[in-house]
Amino acid sequence: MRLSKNQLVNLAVQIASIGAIILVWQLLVEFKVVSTLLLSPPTVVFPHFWSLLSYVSGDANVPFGFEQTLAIIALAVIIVVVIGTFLGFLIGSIRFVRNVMEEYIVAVYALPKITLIPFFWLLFGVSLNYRLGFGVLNGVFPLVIVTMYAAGGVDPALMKMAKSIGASRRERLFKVFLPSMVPSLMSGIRIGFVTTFSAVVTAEMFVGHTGIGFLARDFTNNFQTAELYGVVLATIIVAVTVNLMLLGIEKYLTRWKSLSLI
Amino acid sequence: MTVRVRISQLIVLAAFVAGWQLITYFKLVSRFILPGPYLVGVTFVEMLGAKGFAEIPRGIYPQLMITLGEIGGAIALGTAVALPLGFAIGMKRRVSDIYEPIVYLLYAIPGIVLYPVIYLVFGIGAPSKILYGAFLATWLITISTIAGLRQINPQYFRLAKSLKLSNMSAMFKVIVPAAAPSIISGFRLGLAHAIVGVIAGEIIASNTGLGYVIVYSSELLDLNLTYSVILLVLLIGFVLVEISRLIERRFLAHAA
Repeated sequence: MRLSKNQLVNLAVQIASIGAIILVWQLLVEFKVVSTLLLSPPTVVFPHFWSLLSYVSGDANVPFGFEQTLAIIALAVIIVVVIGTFLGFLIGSIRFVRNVMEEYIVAVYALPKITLIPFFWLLFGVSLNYRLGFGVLNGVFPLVIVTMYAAGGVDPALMKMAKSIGASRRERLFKVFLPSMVPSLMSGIRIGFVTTFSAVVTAEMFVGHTGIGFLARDFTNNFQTAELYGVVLATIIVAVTVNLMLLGIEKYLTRWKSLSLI
Repeated sequence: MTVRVRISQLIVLAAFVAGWQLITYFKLVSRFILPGPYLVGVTFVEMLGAKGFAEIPRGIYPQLMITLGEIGGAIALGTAVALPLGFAIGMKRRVSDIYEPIVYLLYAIPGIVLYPVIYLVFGIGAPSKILYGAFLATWLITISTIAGLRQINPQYFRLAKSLKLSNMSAMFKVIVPAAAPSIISGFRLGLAHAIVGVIAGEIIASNTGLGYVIVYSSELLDLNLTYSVILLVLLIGFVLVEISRLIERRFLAHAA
């Protein structure tokens, strides 16, 4: 992919802005505007952050399972995508079912499902299933909603045109119907990923003794500020990287969009 | 909506409650994990009366007011940050090309990981809940403000210019009304996230509010009470989001 001059300038300004924020962060501590008890400078946080990330690639210096959380999230997202698209497709492609269920699903999506944490905890105990179950419950709704709307919202004109130029049933499904759902599905997966990520970490923060959520809570309670910011930074980097990768996949899968006639 | 749809919706709801009752009746799940809907319903009514004062520290209504106050503070703060930010980024194409992707990435951060930082700095009182709720709400409102501004028909700007409107009146007579539908739907999503943030904050680290009462009663294994409070929180969330949906509909009708 070639970047135009304009895009290069934009990228440079974006990187400079993020750099400026890191600089301000360092200066805030350097000039003692904020106590190091509350905010560790980037130079101190970076080693902790790096040891967490390198642990993921096998260097076992940091206990408590940063990578365990990531594995649970990966599993939860797979379950969420499978269940969510299946249910969304089922509900969205039958008009009557969609009319009945739409309001319920949208309402439940907006509700604070975190209130159900005690239920999950009591049901599963402090186990992997507890985090997995709670993550799936939270992540599945965005996907159901997005798939539901995408399945119901495929442009009938497109389907008609495909039929009139003689596309078989199979071709219409795989070459028109599914590709036209891809953009909304991918954004659903991105939202589902963030929601699942948050939910799993929330579950760990509430109860348990491993994982990102536990680490963050424990470091806070012990005033291990530098370690805390290390965890936060590592989490943000992982989440943002996965998001960018999903965006890249989305761009690749929807490259036909740039061929639009307009 | 046809009558058939409405009736089917009621049947789905009834089936949900009946399924819940059957699960507990046949003890598929222990009543120390999930009490039945009948018991929860009875406790819910009791909780709004005498039980709410006797068995909940400070009483149910003060706790309710604390939570509502925090939600109000969170959405107000979130909006107060998001609108100026959204307008600053969204008004100029060049600026939004640069900073819109960054705002999207900020939204992609699982906010919960920042909550320990917030309560490290601000303690476990109301400010940390307000701040966390505001943080979750603000990116959605910012994104929808930017989106609302970017999709304004460029002709409108030209029209405002040829009518020689001042910057001020172009802003409030043309730009804000044109972007309003998107901003308001962002506000509704932001409200839902603010509620989630406040309750999450109360559940994870707090000594006041409905989220705290949920944790408190579940630790005492008074699960009838736990589920009654959960029901109350869900009702609050539902009512607030429905209210904002009504407001949205009014504005959208105006825009149409």
